[in-house]
Amino acid sequence: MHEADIHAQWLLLIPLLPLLGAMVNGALTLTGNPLSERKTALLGCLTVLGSALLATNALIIVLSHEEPVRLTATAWEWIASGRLSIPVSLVVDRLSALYITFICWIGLLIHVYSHGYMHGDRGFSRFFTYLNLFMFSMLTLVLGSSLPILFVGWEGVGLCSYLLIGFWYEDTENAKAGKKAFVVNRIGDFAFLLGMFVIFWGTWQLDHATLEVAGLQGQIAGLAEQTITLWGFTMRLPTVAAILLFIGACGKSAQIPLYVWLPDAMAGPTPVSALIHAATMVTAGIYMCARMHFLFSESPVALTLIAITGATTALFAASIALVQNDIKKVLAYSTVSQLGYMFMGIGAGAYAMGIFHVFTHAFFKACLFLGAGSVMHAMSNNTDIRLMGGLRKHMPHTWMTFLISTIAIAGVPGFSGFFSKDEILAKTVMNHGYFVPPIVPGHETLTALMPGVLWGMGVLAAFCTAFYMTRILYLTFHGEARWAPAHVPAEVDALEAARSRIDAYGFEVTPQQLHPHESPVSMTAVLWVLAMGAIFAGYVGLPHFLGGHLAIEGWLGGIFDTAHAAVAEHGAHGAEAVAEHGDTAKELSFALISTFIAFAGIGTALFCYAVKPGLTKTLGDALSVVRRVLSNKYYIDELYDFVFVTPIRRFSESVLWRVIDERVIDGTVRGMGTAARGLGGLLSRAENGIVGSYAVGMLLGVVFILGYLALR
Amino acid sequence: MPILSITLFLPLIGALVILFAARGEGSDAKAKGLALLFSGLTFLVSLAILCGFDSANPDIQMAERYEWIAGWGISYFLGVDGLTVLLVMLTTLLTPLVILAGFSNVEKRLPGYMAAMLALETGMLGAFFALDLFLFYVFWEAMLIPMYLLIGIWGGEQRIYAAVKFFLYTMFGSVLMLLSIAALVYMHFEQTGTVTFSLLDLLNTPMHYEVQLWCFAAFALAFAIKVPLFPLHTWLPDAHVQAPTGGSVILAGVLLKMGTYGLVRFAMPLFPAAAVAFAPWLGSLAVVGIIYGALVAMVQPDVKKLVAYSSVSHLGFVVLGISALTPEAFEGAMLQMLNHGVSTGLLFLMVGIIYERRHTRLISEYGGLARVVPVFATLLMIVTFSSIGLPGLNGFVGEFLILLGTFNANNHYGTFHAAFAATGVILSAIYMLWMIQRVLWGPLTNPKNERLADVKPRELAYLAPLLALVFIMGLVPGPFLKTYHASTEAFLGRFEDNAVMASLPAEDAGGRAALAELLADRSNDEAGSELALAEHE
Repeated sequence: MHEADIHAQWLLLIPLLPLLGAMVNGALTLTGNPLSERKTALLGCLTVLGSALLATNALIIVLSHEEPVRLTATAWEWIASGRLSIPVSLVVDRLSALYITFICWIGLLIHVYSHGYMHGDRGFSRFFTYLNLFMFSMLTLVLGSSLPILFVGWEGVGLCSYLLIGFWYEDTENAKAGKKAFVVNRIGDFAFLLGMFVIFWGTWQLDHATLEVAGLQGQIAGLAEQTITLWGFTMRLPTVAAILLFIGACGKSAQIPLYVWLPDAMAGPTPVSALIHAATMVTAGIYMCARMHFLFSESPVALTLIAITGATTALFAASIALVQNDIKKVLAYSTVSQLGYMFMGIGAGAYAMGIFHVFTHAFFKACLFLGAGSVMHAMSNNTDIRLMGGLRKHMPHTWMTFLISTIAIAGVPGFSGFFSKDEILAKTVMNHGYFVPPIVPGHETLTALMPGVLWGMGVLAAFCTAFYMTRILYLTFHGEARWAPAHVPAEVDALEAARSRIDAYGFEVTPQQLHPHESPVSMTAVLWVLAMGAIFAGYVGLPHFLGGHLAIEGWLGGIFDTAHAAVAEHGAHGAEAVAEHGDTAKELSFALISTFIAFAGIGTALFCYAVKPGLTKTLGDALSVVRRVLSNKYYIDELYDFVFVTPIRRFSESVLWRVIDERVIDGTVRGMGTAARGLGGLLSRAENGIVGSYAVGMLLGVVFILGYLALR
Repeated sequence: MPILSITLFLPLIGALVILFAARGEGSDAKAKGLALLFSGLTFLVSLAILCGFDSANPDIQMAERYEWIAGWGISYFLGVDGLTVLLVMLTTLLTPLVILAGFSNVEKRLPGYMAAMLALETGMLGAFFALDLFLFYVFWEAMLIPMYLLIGIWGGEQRIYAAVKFFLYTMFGSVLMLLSIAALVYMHFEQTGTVTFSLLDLLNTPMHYEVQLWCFAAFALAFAIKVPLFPLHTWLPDAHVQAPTGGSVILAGVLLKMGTYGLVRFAMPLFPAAAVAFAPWLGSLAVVGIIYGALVAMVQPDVKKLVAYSSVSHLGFVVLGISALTPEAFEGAMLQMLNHGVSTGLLFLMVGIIYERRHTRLISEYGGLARVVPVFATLLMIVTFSSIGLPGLNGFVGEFLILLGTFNANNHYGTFHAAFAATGVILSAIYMLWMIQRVLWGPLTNPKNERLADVKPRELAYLAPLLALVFIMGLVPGPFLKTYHASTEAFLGRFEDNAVMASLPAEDAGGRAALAELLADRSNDEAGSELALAEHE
């Protein structure tokens, strides 16, 4: 046990309280007598409030110590077999304390919001059951002291995600989206499992809390020196393990190539999109990588791969978001893109910055999603921004908070998103720890170019972010009211789709009958709290040139220190491996560039949509190929269908089942049966009891053979 | 008190009582009551076995041994150890549940059905208890008859085809096993001068490498058919689809485990050198089965067939775990046998519930059921995720241990086996969730489903114990795993290098050389692992 461990059995209550809420609401729902909406929501909210208070208490305890300390709690031995021992045990350190605190409070806000949002839904109590179950799983994920316990939460949030995406299950599309999310996540989990096995293979240990201590004391080196040889390639064990775990993270945190489920996941109720598919669950991959920093830091190759994946995803998803017309889809791609930034931070070895962005992003993205939900509420569940416009006057609170969050995500200085994103970009360009393995041709040049290229991609993605966010802000809240009867454009093909969705949810409203209105206080109040977070959450990480000390980095650094040291040790260029603290001039210049980019994006969008509204259409017509590719999301879903889904299904059906099973194997069996026709003829009359006499005959035969052998 | 014998014969007595007592007026009601009474009593008595069982003791416990046919060294020899005790409990638990389920889903000749089910229980328990090869063989074959009748009389439209196929397949393996038993007994006789069928006496019979290979192959074939291991699985989908609900539950829940149980109880310990030699091949076939079964399950239009192929996939995990010869994988495999019994038993029971109402098993006949039967839908979801291996539910623990143990096996292929087998976690999610989507979600399009009744109290009564196990075994698998520890150690001890070598007679120089090469191969990686262990302790 670590010397600074504090035993705190009450930690168990943090995940258990929401579980209790889920069990009570779930059991009552199942027996057909759910509580009233008010009581259901109260139970859901109070249990999460309880967790939030306990989590805050944990954070305060951890904060009150100068040195990193850990709170631990152990319940029972879960799996013990052979050399494996996995206790159900939770651990709170600086990283998990910060994480559970913001998860609980944001979770609470979204529970409150859901009370208003889900009002009148047939599945109201079912919704709160799932939401509470999600809180339980997410908290288990963060608090688990070993990879298998983390995995319990990891799969648990996947289950809740599945249930909540397909919440309105009567629409087959929703059910399909839920299944897609679970299956794609399982692809990641497959790699995650293998990653665990590799770690166990190298250390006989799956307890990351123990491994981390070993790492801090330099005992992880034994792991680092081992190699694994697959198909003739010899790889260092940490590289193999880290890459496998990262593939798992790609599934959960929607990175290329496993991001495809997240945009579809928007089929779920909007509070779910805010809580699960923006603020908390999708950041689990980043959390896991930060949690396992001692492993990732042993492998510059894995970190470089993470940085490349993150930067590519950030740019790729942002480019798709440019042309989407569904407000939730834009936000979904925006989330994918922002998650990419977080991985860039991890890849640069700046774990604290990755986590910092998780933290700020949770506020502004939750606010944006809930704002979108508020808009949908006003627009009878329409999500097509071509049918919106001019809503500012009708819903001022939603508009104001959406505006604040847009500014925050666009990266305007003074708002939270700026601080975290800017730091990630700065750390990326100043990091010299990237390492392209010699197996890649031209690896030296690539290694040298890496910081600049990654930074460039990040900056371009930032421009896109500012552009698409301004675009949806303007098209939703400003300009003409295109939803009014006179303005419904003829060419909108989504109109029919929107109508049928509206019908499916039981609303009897057509776009012509809309009367947009501001949402109830329970919703707008939540929006304002989150908007305040979108402004101020960044101040825990003020950069040096503003007189701050990157407080969050220093604080989290206590646990990530070894990480930095290790990157330095293994980095290609050895010296100057990590961004130096307090390099004020560099920091300032990158901040200026970021600021310029943010304003450029906003300005361009305003020019395109406010000043010269016809411009995008002209431009789109001129570059119709680009527009088509982007609006069809690079045809990735179609590609996956064509390359994987359809061939596998066809092969299973026409080859495995119809040929191998029915013809080859069964054919052989039947052939043998025909050869023994006499026997078959006998057996075909078996229903008359002949099989009984056959069995007796068989036993007699046995006795005969044995008798012969014994007496021979 | 001969507790094992009481447990063993109570159901058979029940079967006879039903056949004689349940006649004429009200025979069905009498048969129901008697069947439930006897199977329930059997379960209660079997609890005494569980209570009296000492999990720290790796030896045979509660043994009962009487001479039967003295001249041939055949004895009535029963006992339990860590490998059997929970399988016995699974059998005695599942039987009353399927009998309760049979109250409404059996459409004809109910007393006969109940009697057959009870007779089957005696057959299964006998096969688990038997420690005399002849006795085992008797029960092994005796089990076939009631199962054959269950499929052949109470089955679906093509029941005769399915029953004959089931019978032929199993017989084919059994005959070879019988010859192998005879050869084994004969060799023991040659070496010691005594004729015996006792497993404990035969265990340490040194045999030439070649002979071991042949004998093991014969045993393994019989058991592999039962498992069923790819490519010997094609009897299973037909048998499952045609069998009545209770038959399917017992078939999947217990009978398939006879195959894997036979491997660990007889085939492998009797011929350790051959087991080591065949282990990679068994493992490979298991991995093929995991993937193949899952892929074929994915495209099935019939729910029962889907579950049947998923069994091929799940049992592949069990065989993989056994063939890895590591404690984690082995205990995982033992646990997975129970898990599969619970999950697949539940799946078949639930399919039975819906079949009883609609008389179709075609997935396309359903859709949108969640709205009409919410409780059924919720329970089916729980079972589905148990089958998919969601951590916290029972399926995960076994799968995780099997994969982890296989990955860490001391050989070259373990890593690959585990890596390929792990794709099963993706595939199982695909076929199960796709089925769920088509049955439960979406709009309710088929008007025949509009008035479906939800789960009734009696149905809930037979689902509840298994549902409770889904959670208990998932959250607190400790007591279950603890049962295996001592026996696992004893089992694996037989496959350590010197023990394996000792199973070959000194004069078999060629065999010893071949085996030494095999063992050297396997210990190459072991050195690396030992090193790692030393470093971190």
